[in-house]
Amino acid sequence: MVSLNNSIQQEKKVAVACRGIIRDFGAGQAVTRVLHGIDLEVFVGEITFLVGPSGCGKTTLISIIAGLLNPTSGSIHLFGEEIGAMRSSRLVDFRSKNIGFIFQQFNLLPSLTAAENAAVPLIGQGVSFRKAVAEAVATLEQLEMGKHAKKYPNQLSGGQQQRVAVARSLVHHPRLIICDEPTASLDATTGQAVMEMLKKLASSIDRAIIVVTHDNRIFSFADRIAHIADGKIREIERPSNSDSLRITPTEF
Amino acid sequence: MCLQVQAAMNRIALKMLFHDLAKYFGLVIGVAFSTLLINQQMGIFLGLLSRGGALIDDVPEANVWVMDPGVKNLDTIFPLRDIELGRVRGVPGVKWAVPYFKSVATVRTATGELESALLVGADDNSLIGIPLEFVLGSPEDLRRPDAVAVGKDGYGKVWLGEEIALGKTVELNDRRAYVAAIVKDSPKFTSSITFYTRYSQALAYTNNGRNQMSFVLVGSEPEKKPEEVARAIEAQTGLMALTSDAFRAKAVQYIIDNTGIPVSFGTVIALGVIVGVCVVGLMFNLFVLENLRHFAVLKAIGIKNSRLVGMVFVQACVVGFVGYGVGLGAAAAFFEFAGRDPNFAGFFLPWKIGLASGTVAASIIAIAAMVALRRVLFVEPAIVFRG
Repeated sequence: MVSLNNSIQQEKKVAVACRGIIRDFGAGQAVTRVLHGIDLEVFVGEITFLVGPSGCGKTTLISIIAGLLNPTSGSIHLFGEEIGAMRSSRLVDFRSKNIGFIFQQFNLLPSLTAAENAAVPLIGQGVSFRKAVAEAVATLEQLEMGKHAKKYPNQLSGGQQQRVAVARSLVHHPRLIICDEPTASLDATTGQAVMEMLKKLASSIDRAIIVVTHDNRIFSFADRIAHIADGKIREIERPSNSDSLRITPTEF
Repeated sequence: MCLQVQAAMNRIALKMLFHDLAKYFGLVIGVAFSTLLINQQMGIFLGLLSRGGALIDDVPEANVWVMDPGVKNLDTIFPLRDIELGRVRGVPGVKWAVPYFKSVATVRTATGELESALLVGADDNSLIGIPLEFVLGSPEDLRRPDAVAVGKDGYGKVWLGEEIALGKTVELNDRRAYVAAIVKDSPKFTSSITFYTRYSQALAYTNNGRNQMSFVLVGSEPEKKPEEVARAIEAQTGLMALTSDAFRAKAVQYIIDNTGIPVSFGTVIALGVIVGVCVVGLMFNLFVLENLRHFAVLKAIGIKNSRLVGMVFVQACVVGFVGYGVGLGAAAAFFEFAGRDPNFAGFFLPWKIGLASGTVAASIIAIAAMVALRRVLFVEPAIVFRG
């Protein structure tokens, strides 16, 4: 486990704490270990990047953090609660209230308008369809997408679709947003705009953001970058200030 | 709140369903096709079976039919001796008994072709045995020499395309017959043309002389049950006596046991069900497969499995109800329009068939939904992170 000693980090609340996360796939002799004892902390008010080559375990790690996948061993605490100890229905409720998702492929439902797509998390929490859509429209307006609220995904550009996805991840005011390659399907300008939006969201509200990315053009938006290789965190750096912490694989 | 969430999720489910119109219509057509096939085939099947007892239906006054013990149906007849009529009349509980003659005759149509027809001879005095509903003419007109009544549907077969009218003459077994009345009768199993006349006149047309009585029709005393009277007739005369209902059932059973009709119709109906299950099952599965990622997204976002089950259930129900409605409507339209053709006269769509086909449609959609639901329930929400 890597701990940072400067005073700023001491003040920050831990949003996500992973301890000794191991994840195996397959069974018997065909078992493959994808994560080899990951320890990671993600802090509120920060954007944490998970970077590394394809197949290094980034997606598996965020799936486990989101409670979509169970670790083979280890524990994950989200905002002080251990999600591994939660019953399935409680975990679904917890995820619904506390986590927002932004996907590489946007994953918008093609049959729903932008506003309806953005409203889905609220609907899942019991807000009426009409009220949820109204709140989603308000969120879309904050993202300058208000005039596109009634359009369907196939009527929107990639950047606009990603903004709808951002709205969907925000509409229910989650404390953790997990972004999987949010700029991979976007051009450079749009990608920068989306990241600026996320940066603003992380800093303005008591919220943590985890971004999985290969896109080194957006590394400057990170408060912390965890480099993953072969299922292990090889290095955590802080590109935006002088307190960068670098650790070597031998320290694990 | 639960209902509110499910209502909203159902709305999303319907939007998903209607978004892919081609697949939606494919599903609806699958269910509709099965429903139509089941209703149409069952309707025709029952219509054909009911024709087996058509002659009985046309004589509602008689509640007991007396016949030779060897008779199995309305078409295989062993004539009774004329004396049997008196013996039946002497059985306690018999209010009245009249002779009834039935035979096959050859009729020459207006175009000169020969057609097979049924010839029915009813009691000379009471005319019991003649259908009650006269379209043209009256029972008294049948008392004239050579007078016959012809069934309305059969009239169109003899005088093709002509408006029904009295006064036509026709060759019946090479003897002249004069159409004095046109009656509304039930369509028969073996022939679509039926001539009705007096008993004595019918014997004259067939040149068969005495002892040619096909059945004795009996009306029982009001205070006696027909079954009791039938048993009494059997005990006293040694003949077979059946109530109208029992005789109708026997005639229908004979058709079921001795023709390939049930197998033929049953095969088509089974094919309809199998094709329905396969087509709807595969298409619904395909529909869910294509939306599996979206279901996974909903799961990841925090929508519970129970809500997703509700969504698939709503989608399946809508497909089932619309498909069933279209299929049933098409079947009803078929019977409505086809019923105007004399060849299809008497075929109908009883509500029980509609109910049965509804059960089959529900089963088809339930099987399709079950198969699809497994995929939805077991889809890993983590697939949303895969490209």
